[in-house]
Amino acid sequence: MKFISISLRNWRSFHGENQLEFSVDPERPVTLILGSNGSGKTALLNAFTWVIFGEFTEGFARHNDLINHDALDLDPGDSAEIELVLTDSGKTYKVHRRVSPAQQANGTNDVSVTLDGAINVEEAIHQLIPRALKELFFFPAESFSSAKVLQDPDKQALSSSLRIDAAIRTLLAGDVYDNAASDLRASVKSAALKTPKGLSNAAVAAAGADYDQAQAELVEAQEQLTSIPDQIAHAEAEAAQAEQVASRYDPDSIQAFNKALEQKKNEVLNAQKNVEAANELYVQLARQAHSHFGGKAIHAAIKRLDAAEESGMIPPRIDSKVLDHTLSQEKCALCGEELTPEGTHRVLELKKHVADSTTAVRGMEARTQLKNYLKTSGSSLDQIRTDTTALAARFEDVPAPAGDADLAYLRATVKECITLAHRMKDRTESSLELFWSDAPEQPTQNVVKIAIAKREFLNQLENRHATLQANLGGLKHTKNAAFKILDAKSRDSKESTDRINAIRLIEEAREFFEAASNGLTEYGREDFERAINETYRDLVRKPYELRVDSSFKLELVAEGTERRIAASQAENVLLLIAFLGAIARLAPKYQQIRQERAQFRKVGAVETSSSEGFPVVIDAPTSALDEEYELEVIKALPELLPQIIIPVSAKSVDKWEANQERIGRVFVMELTSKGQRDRFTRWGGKDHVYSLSHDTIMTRTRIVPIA
Amino acid sequence: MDTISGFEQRMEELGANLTPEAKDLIKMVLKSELVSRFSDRSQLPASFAEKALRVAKENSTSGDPL
Repeated sequence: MKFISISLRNWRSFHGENQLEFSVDPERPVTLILGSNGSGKTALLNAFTWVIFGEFTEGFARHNDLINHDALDLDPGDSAEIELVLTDSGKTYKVHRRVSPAQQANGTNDVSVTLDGAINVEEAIHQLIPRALKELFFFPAESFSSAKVLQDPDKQALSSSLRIDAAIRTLLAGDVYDNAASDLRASVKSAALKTPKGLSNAAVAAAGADYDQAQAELVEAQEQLTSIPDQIAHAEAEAAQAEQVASRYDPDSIQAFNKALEQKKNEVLNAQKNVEAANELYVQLARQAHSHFGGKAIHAAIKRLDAAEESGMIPPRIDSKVLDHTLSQEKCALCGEELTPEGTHRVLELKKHVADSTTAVRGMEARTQLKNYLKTSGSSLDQIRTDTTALAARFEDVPAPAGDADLAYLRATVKECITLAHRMKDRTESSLELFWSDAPEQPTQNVVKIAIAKREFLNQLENRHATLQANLGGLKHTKNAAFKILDAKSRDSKESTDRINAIRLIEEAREFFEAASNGLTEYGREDFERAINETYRDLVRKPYELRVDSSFKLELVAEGTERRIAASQAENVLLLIAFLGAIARLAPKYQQIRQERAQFRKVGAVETSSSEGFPVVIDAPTSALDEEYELEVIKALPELLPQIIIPVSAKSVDKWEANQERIGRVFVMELTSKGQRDRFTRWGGKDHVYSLSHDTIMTRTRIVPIA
Repeated sequence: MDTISGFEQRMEELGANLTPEAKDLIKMVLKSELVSRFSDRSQLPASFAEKALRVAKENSTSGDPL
């Protein structure tokens, strides 16, 4: 299979029509695409996965933002389209996918496939490039740091995040065997073979029910065992990615950031509390306002009452009956003395004013009430003075009120506190906002918690898988035992015997398909191990050997020994490239075997070479490598496969140009953007535009052939 | 002379132990699965069950044990 060309129209940052024609010369297998960060290398990779599968690579964001924005500004109804042309076994396939604005909002699109010019179905492409190969043949740069293919010596991981076993089975049509086994398991549960209810023979009915239950439990476990590896692979990829994100941040800096953030938030909170306290105190003051205005009048009233009493203006407090008795007896009712004419005159005068005694009492009572009121309001005022003193203490420049400060003074103090509290609140809120804007990339503890949670979920899945594996034997035994009992008890009933024999037949067929599927994996592992050792030797000139275990995890050992080698970061990158190369070399061989239906005959004995293989698109394979390894990989990549498409930044363009005899086509993804400066890259003795600055254009990419 | 692969040998041994009825069912299942590989398979389990039951009934009628 070879990719011939890809055409993009309004795809993400690619405005208008852009096209890439790939090198198909096996002597010059590399198509190099030079692009800076942000120019759309990942968008280009996803152009492949989207046009073929309608899907995206892990980590590709904004799935419903596919149509170029400039195009939509000119015509809101415009669409994005991609067409891929490829050849295989002498036939030409074209797959075209289109998305309109309405479709991109709801995640749909239109696809058409032609084979040698005649309309065909989408599955025709998927038979060539199965979905199981998407993550392997269209490899994003992020996966270089997160994909796990090497065994972790500290734990027995169940499967690689790259599902090579699934890819192998799909290439060999092993899914047909898997489906057969699964459908035969389901057939035992179908109505034709279920133990009928209401059987007259209770023993057969009971044995039938036991068998049905044992069978159902076994099928449930087997179905879970089939689906869990995919879940584990996905969970492992997610956990690795989350751990990578978390590891970028120093835990000390996370802690320091969180501490500073907490402090800023507390400052805002305290400032808000000061505002609330000051406002509440002002309300208390307002409630006491009447005492401020009434206090003086009350003081004046009390003074007047005192003065009246001193000057005798307040009537005597004597009962009139006492005076009447004195006059009638002509002697004082109180002391008993004889009443003289002067005394009589005084008593008569007193009698004239005695009717006012109730007035006197009222006056005295009023004075007492006024004094009590002053006492109460004085207590309230004292409390307000205390509260105001406490409030003023929160602010540096506000003096505490005097011990006898009146309401007017207290009011002025509280008003000043309110002003300062508001100012402080504004200041702390601005400070918090600035803190956030100055540290946009700082994570919260959530990043670490997420990574821990994802790893924990993966552990749970792996434990579940292990438990299911451990219990499988027991479940099979239980089912077989139940089947034997049912068989023995059914001998008297023809109907039951027929059913038992049909089940026995189905089991026999199912075991055959399971053996076939398991064999594809087991012998495919041998082919893969052979292929990856070849690709790794092509990339790394060291005496290493790769062992592939039953879950397709790799172990790197010194050749001819059992001594494990700890792979460096660079060697891990090379291992991944070798991994991809191995499966790309196996793919056309397995395709051929599938077409010949020669799976049993040939799988396990497949030989591969660099002259035959599926094309792969590897995004920035050398970005994580230091210079020494980078040169080695640049030299080795063209040896890997007959066609390899490499988007890469131009920072090492001179190293690529040193290997130009193996490079068939070179393109530049010319980026025009507000955030860019004018830059050039050199190829073939000429300068070519790499990026351009523009006042108004946010991001626009143009594909330009330069060789 | 071509040497037989390990996988082929294993599957041949397995096949040699299959009853003729099982081989017949296997052929039917394989053909159905290939035809339905990229389409709806939901009816296949029932069809396999009916085929197995039919074969079992024919054998019990003819007196042949399965």
